[in-house]
Amino acid sequence: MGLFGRKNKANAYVLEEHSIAPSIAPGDVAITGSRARLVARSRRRIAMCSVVFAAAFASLGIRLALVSFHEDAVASKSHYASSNTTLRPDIVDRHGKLLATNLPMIALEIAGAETWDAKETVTALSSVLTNIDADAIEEKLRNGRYVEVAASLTPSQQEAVFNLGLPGLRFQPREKRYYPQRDLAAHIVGHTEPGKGGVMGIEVLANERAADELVETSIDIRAQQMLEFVLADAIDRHLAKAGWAILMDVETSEVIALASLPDFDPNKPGVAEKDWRRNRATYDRYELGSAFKALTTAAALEAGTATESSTYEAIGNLKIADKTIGDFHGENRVLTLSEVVQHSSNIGMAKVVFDLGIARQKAFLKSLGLFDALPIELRENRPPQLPAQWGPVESATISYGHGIAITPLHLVSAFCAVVNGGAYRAPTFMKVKKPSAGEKVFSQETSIVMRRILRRVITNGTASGAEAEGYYPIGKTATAEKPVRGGYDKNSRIASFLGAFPGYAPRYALLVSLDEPKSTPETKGFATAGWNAAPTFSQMVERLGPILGVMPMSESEALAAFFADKPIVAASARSNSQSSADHGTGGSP
Amino acid sequence: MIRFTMVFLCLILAGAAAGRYHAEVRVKEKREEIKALEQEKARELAEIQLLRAEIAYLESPERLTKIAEKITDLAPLTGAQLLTADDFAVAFGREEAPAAKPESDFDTILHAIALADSTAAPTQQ
Repeated sequence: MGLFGRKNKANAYVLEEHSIAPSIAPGDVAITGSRARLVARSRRRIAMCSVVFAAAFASLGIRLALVSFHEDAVASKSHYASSNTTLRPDIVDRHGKLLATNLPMIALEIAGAETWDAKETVTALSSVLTNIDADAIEEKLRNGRYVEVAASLTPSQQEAVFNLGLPGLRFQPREKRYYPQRDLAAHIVGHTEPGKGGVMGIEVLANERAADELVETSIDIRAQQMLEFVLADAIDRHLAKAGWAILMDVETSEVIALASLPDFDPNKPGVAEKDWRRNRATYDRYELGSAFKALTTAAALEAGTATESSTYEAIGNLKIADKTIGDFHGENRVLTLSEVVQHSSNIGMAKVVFDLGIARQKAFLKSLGLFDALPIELRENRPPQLPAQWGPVESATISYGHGIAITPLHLVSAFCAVVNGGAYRAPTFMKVKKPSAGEKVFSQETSIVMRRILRRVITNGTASGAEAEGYYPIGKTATAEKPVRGGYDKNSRIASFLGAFPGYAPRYALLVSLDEPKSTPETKGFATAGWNAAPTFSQMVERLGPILGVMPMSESEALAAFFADKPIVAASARSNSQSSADHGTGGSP
Repeated sequence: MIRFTMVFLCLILAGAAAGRYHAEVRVKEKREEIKALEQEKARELAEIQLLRAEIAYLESPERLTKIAEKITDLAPLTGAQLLTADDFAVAFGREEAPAAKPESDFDTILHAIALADSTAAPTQQ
């Protein structure tokens, strides 16, 4: 039958000479002899050609399909590989300033087995790369080993080495994690280690993020620099062992800046002492002293067991069980609640907490996040160290910040709730687009009264040095003796000032602590917080104001705000501040 | 008829083969172009990355502070140096608006007390 034979066509039967004749239907034709053989051969050839054509068309079709689809996929895969070689995401501050990034590098390697003359190779390389260990490399090349000569070449060095025309050279593309801000915010950003990725700070979080996903922190690098600069100066002037400072937005609990000194350069983390890499502000736990009085006072006001004008007898010493409580600068008179805080009376505060009761004290501290580890993005984070038993003695000492060890970040977060209208929010190192409502711990009224009381600490209390013109800051000093085995070391202190500004409508909370500051002629022989931490706080507030876009206010307006039933927010200050926080416009009026 | 069909099929096959050859050559050329563009893009991206890092270092507040201290006499800006637009206008001759009256006598008393508190001799611990 023909290749394209029609149906009902007459069949032509080819009969071989010895074949048995088939039954031939009427109308069909039977061919015999040499003609029959010719026809049969032609049919076989046509069949073979048909198979060949079919195979050729099939192969063409398959190949075209491969070219159309498969190789496009291969091409797009190679495109992805070549244009997206970055493995870690960039880390930026709240205004997009780069804190950590990846730099493309070219490493130079030599295959020893392919070099002709080890000495000549090393001599030629030394003429371009001056800081290589020529002898060691030559020795390795002689042994036919594969040697990494330089981990990162500049483009000009690469070109110069290439032009040497040496055999066995390999230029390997690499990536290096680079921290352009160097030691600024080092404890927050953290660092990486070869083969491990991020091992500290936000870098640990970046391990889980896609390479093209920007990690936007809450940090403002300008505020960070200022904080570190002033803190380092204070550590030098007051001969302190170390220091830390935390700046937090009271409305969102974003950490705007956090300094822990001494610090380190994350580009060379191994160079710094191990102790310097410890984040004292989020990992270390301290008994932070009298700053706790702000929390206890707010709790008593909220519970209704005290008012701003409640009075407490703070004369002599107070004996509870086998413990005696005294005041550092005893007023030896009856004090109002406000005066108890102003003059930092331990006796008065112990009496405030007796009225409050242990159960309510614990409930308030728990709702301020002081019983658990903070849910922050840094690995360097620990839960507070609570007393094994919480009796009257512990309750009294905890009321003024002894007997409970917390991280400085715990304290600042809790303080935000005292001054921001009463809402507690867990702190964060990530930029917050929409702040949460938080957990309401104190009422607006309690918060307003607390601002007044904390303002008097500066105007009439222990911290006149914390004043900052135009910002009317509020806050509390804390000079805590460091615990040693069996008691406290009177010569080893942590001096802190915990405050907020502007005091009439707090926008930022700021904690400054100096670890073991010494008395100097400048401090007239004192080493307490009012003489070192408070003036440092003042300096920071005066410089932070313009950076954060917080406008100073006139005295009459500020005083009216302190005594208003509802919080008064200076429009200019608030709008400028917000503008700065969102857009980084700085502090120009 | 068979011969015509064979010739026709051979022509189609030859055309298809030529088409395929042409397509493959073009694909190869395009692929090389893409590869070159990708390499160019990778180079540009690497350079941009380097420049971003360099800008970040050059704009680092720590570096700028050191330079400012070294070559200028400028002191850090403080809040006391900030002026609102109104303050600025007053400083340049516009008359100051009269102070708003206190809302009530109660407020006046409180303000006076607060003022007395804030102007009392402070003590330092």
